[in-house]
Amino acid sequence: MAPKFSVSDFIAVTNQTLEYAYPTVEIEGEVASFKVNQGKFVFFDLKDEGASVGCFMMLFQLRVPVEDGMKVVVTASPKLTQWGKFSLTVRAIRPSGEGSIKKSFEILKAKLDAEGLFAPERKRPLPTIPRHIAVISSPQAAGYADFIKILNDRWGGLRVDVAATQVQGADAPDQIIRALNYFNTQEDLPEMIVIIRGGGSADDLSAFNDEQLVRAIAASRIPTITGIGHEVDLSLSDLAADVRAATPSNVAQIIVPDRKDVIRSLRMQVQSLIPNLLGSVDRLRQQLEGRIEDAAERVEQEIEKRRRQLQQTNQLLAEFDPARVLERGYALVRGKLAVGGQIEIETKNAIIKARIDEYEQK
Amino acid sequence: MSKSETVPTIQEKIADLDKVVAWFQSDDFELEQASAKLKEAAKLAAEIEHDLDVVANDIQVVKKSFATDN
Repeated sequence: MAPKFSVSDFIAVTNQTLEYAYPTVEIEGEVASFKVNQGKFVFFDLKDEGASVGCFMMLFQLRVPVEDGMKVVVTASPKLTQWGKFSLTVRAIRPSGEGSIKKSFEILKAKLDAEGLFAPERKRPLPTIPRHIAVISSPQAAGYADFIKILNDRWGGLRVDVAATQVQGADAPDQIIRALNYFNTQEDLPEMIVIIRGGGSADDLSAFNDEQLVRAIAASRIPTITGIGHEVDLSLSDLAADVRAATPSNVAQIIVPDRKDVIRSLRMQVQSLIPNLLGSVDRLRQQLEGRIEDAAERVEQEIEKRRRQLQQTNQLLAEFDPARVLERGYALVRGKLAVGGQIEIETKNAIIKARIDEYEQK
Repeated sequence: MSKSETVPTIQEKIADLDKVVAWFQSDDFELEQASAKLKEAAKLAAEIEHDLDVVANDIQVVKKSFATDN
């Protein structure tokens, strides 16, 4: 005997059956009749060549730009509404196929670029040699292993806190956002946050084009560096980060110096001090020698000055010598200067005795 | 105070060495102190080199799950 239901019970039982059989499905198709109602509710049809199904989702769950004609993969639960209409309640949607991924990427890139999220003036420098870093990645991923290997080869003494998250799939963006929030609210803040994921298809890497994730990276109070995929894989997360590395290995090369280079540099630094010190000694010696030479020169100048002064004094004294006066033709008169007085006149060549006949005061 | 709080890190030692090297180029340079400073620089460089050779990175996976908001 066929089971008998009320309409409401039939819809409820059908939904229970659907939930049991297909709790979550992923369906790929092309978007048609896309619209947003009341700024909250998103409706669209998902179709292929032979069929179409209605889809419903909340606007806040829409993390990438979607347009009619875009190929997407939805993560959804099938449901029969109380009006008997079958639809998919969508939890996540992501572009699928090269064309749609690129189109979605370009639309969101233009939007976030216009808001200034990728502006060069927002970029902050990373510390030269960090002591404490945070890493967001999947520790099982090859990219993470490459990063850790290069990091350990290059440097030591670093504290590395790792947040294990998914790095692809619908849940990856939210997990990475939670990890970003976790590190940004720690009392002991890391000096930088590293976000890494190895290579993969455009679909694998599409989590890093999630709008909310890109905004969370741009809003991080801790500087961020990304190493996602290979050099040719540019994501919006890369554009929002303070520094973009080409690969996870390249992140390690950027954030820490190579210990071999540092050791070589240390040795050169210390060795460079020795000629510096010897040069200082030499300069001091030259200064002392210069001072001694200056002093000797000053002593010689003083002796010469005194010698000249003595010579001048001798010349002056010679001028006053009576013999020099007689030499010049003068005569020296001695005796009583009065009429009848006897006087003696000495010239250069003779001494003459004479008597004064006349004497008159001038 | 624990031992780890008093032991200078590699970065602190490198900063100390940079200061000593800068002293040789600065106006504070005095020949009488230069020999001691040179020994200090050589000691720091040897310590940093040793640290770089033996100190490993401390890598810890955070225990918190990021799968959900809780």
